[in-house]
Amino acid sequence: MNHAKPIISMQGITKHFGGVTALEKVDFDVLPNEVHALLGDNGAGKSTLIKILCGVHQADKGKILVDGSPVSITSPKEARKVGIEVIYQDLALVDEFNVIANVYLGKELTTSFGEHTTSILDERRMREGTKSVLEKVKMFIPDIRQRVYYLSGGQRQGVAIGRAVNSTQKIRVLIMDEPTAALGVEEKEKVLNLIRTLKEQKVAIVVISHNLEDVFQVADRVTVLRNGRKVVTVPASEVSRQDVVGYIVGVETGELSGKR
Amino acid sequence: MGNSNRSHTDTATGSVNVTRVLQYWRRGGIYISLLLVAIGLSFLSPRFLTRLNLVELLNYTAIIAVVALGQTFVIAGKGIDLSVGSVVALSSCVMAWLFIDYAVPSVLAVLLGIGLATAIGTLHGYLIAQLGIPDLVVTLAGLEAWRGLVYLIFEERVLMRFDPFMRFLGNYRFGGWFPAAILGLFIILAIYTFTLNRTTLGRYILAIGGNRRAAEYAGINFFKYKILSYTLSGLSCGIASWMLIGRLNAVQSSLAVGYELHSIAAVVIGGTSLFGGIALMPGTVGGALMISLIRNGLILGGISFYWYMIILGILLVASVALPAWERRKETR
Ligand SMILES: Nc1ncnc2c1ncn2[C@@H]1O[C@H](COP(=O)(O)OP(=O)(O)O)[C@@H](O)[C@H]1O
Ligand SMILES: [Mg+2]
Repeated sequence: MNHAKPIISMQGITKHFGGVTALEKVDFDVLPNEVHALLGDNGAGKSTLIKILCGVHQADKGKILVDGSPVSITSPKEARKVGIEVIYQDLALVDEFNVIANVYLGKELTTSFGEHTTSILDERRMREGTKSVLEKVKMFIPDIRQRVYYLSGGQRQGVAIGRAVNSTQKIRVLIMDEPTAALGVEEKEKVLNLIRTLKEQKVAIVVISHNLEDVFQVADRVTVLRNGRKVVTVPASEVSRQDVVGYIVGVETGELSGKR
Repeated sequence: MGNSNRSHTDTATGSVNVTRVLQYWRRGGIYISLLLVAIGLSFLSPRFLTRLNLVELLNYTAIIAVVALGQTFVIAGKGIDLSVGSVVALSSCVMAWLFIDYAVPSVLAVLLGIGLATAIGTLHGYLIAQLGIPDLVVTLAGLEAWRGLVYLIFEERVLMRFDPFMRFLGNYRFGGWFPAAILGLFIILAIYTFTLNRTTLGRYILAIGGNRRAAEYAGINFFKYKILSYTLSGLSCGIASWMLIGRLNAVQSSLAVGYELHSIAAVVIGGTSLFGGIALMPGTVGGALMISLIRNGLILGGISFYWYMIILGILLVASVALPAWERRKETR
């Protein structure tokens, strides 16, 4: 077991949308170099929790600690500053752009310094950078000038991950929302391998998923949410899939009903 | 793609080849079509392919091509600018009015006219981006309102007799034959192509057009770049106004009617996607040329002008249908 201090610790997070309670006193933490699966049925609150962590939403109550000290994350930019990157399923890529333009979207290399309304793109350096980023995540894409629209699902995830890790700021936690949804078997395997590769590179990873098969292949710990409350956080090796299904749908199967 | 270790879970290899062909057609199709139509026309009239005729054709096309180049930025950002004709009319009339009624020096009159058009484009962009009014609504309102303003101020007046500077861009010929308008068009084409493909300004306009939420999540300021795309359209309208004054040597309220359709057609025929994210500046000039060519050809062939309208309509639908079909083929 990993007894290191958490990189990120969310404590007592509560969030209402009008009359809907999306999250109620949820605790969630991320340890260094772990793959932490966040599970739950539709509407359980997974996306809301993640959006609070990455600054898209603000919590009504609760606090977020990074390396033990409280922070206020009010925008994706600030989340990025503390090393949190998120890959949303549909938000990640511009279909019409090629691999290079996507890997550098919003952080283009230019021939001038500082931020301007317009500056000249340095295509050559971005091309080289894209190659080395893809190498780093061990994703092979034959033609990086190809529009990502024409890539397979696994390759698209590879590009999205390449984009996330291609940061001047060192990435510490990568959050992936349903990375294997709607992928074929072979493509799924590619994405799971990407996750393993990132873990080798000491990135902590939070994976949101419906698919227990996939999750159990890579997860070190599992957290289950139901109706906006945390049901449990356990090491993946200590629960069966049957148990987890029970937590998700609300039928307690074993003794592990303790709310930790 | 032809790479053996690729796996296609949802795509048959056959349709990949079709999409590849469509990709190439988007880039090169307009030039092949131009060539074919040109060859066809040279059979119709042996004089068609003479240097003189080609220069005249390009010269004639320059004004709408400049407007369409600005329109390309707007469409790249998934917008549409229906106001261009009215904006050209307003800024032409204002240039002429300042020069003739108020004896403003011609250089200043031209700059003020271009500035006005640029400001109007920026205003449209602001209303769209900041207030969230749909592009279509704002620029349709612009189409009506600016034209209304032109008639209100100038009524049936015809303003004419300009100085050489005001006529320069639309009328001057280097060495007695090469039109300044063509040179101007190519300079603008070069600058716009560079801006679109080689600068963050172009990249960000394309990004907000291709996937607004992804762009915003990547830290790109949607409002800023949406507004700037319309600013560039306004700027183009201003430059086109200067060209138009020189060309016609007379300015009146009914100027530049129908520019919205012709510019949008040129952009789309040239391979720019109405769905945003893909834009081709040289293609736009090719598209504008295509429209002129067809018109020219029908005149040479003595065919009714109504056919021109019908063919333009068909061409427009076909140019949009192709990429729409391309999108549907590979839905994931
Ligand atoms: N922006 C929002 N506005 C209103 N209600 C929301 C919003 N986002 C989420 N919710 C509600 O909060 C609850 C949790 O949603 P969500 O976090 O998306 O769940 P999950 O990702 O686990 O499927 C749901 O009841 C959902 O309807
Ligand atoms: Mg969700």
